[in-house]
Amino acid sequence: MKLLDHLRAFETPRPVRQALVRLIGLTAFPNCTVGRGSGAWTRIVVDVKGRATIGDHVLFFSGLAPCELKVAPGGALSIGHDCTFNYGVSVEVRREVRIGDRCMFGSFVRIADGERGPVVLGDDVWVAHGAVIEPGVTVGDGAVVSAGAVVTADVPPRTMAMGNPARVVPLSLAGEPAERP
Amino acid sequence: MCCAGRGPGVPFGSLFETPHVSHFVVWTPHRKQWMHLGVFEDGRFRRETEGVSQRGPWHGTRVERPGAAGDTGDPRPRVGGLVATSTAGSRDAPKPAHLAEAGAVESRCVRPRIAPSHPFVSRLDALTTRLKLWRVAQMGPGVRVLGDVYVHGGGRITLGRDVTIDGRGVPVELHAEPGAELVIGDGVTFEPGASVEAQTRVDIGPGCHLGRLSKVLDNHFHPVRGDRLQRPTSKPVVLEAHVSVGARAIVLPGAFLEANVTLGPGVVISRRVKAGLHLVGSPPRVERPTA
Amino acid sequence: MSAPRERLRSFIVDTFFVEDFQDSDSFLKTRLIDSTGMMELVAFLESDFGVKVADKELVPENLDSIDNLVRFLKSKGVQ
Repeated sequence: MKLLDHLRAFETPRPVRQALVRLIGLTAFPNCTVGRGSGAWTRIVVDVKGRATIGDHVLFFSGLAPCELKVAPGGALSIGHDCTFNYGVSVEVRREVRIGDRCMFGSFVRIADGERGPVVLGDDVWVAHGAVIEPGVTVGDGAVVSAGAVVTADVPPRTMAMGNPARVVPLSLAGEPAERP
Repeated sequence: MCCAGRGPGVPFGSLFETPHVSHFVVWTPHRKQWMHLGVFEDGRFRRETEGVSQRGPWHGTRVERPGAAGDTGDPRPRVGGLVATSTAGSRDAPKPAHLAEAGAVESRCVRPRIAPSHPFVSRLDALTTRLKLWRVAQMGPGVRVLGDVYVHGGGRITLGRDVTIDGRGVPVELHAEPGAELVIGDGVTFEPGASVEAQTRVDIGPGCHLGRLSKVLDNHFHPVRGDRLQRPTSKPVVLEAHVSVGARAIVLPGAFLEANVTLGPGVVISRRVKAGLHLVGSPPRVERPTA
Repeated sequence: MSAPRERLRSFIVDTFFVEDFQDSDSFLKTRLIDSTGMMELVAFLESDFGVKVADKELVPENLDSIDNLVRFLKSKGVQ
């Protein structure tokens, strides 16, 4: 690789970036309707050409990669209250993506709608690290999408989707209450 | 014999040369023993999956003396004697007895997995490495950081020698909570985006390789049932020597990957895995163990 | 081809590093196998016994012990 290519990859040192973000304060969300107490104390990519409605107390965390909210012209993104997005979550909307209240998204989760239909997440959904939710999927209330799962079909409420392609198991197969997936 | 050549199968470890063949052994701090990983002959490396027993490292296994190929009908040369277990508990403990007997000579070997940068950028990286890793409690010589590394949490992080952290593009994350311990062995390599998070203890053995955007966790952070804001108990994670974690693979709490295990891209694993297996798919299934 | 019971037991012993368990022991209660392991077990049933496990059959009654598994396989026509 040429020297110039290497230098282009040399980003602004993280402490400098963090100081800039603190100076500017809450990252602006252009074109979005944002509720009370919501925001991102970090760089986040917001490219909304359609409509985006974000509820109250929705937080976007910092980390290895910025979160991305992309809404195409004519698209509609709706995020409920009290949701938390870990770093690297990518939400891409062509027509419609609806997310309920109190949803939790692990790092690097990918949600995109498309030809097959809109993506609808109910309330209290937990999507673990690295999961992918394909177009046309409805995830019911209280469901859990396991780490690394690729969800191609609907997930009923209070069940767990795991694997690639994801299979749905009842939470009773997920072990004791103190256990995890 | 120089092992810095091309090829994906070149591990990290100590190279002992005997008259007929070169043996790779690595020090496993987790078991405080030397482990025999394979032989290097005719310019090719062959992993020793038979010698690595199911429940522990290669110890107490008797093999034939090096001799004429026709002795046992098996053309592979072998080395005689018993492997000694180190009692000193340190990396400088006596080498495997049979290799010392055979007059083995040790030489270093580093796995060449990371593409080199422009010399000027390499020099810049060398200067900034100690700065980028100022939060690390202890690190051996030869540690290289290319690009960005995100070390946070306040816990105790130790790096062995010759660790290569490639954080160009997406940073590598090393996270240890206060009171937690993240132990990284010699010669471990990290690809961009790899992330290790220790809430209690994560052990990464010598020669391991963490692929792009892979994740090693020892705590799920949320329980499946009950109050989602209640953090569940951690389960320590151990990766033994020469484990390769594929791109976007996820190592969940309680996983124990024995030596030479390879995880394909996207594999999600949360249990103990036998040495030498190659897992692919989700749920994981076993491909032919590489030999 | 050995009986399903033996094949199941040897798969579980081989994969999950467990040896001492009764045919009636619940995998989930004794923490022998977790949910990711359950999916590996289901994949084993589908590949080795050729049975198709529907989503609604993924319940502890069918999968949570060797006895349950043998009964489930019998209901699927595997003797």
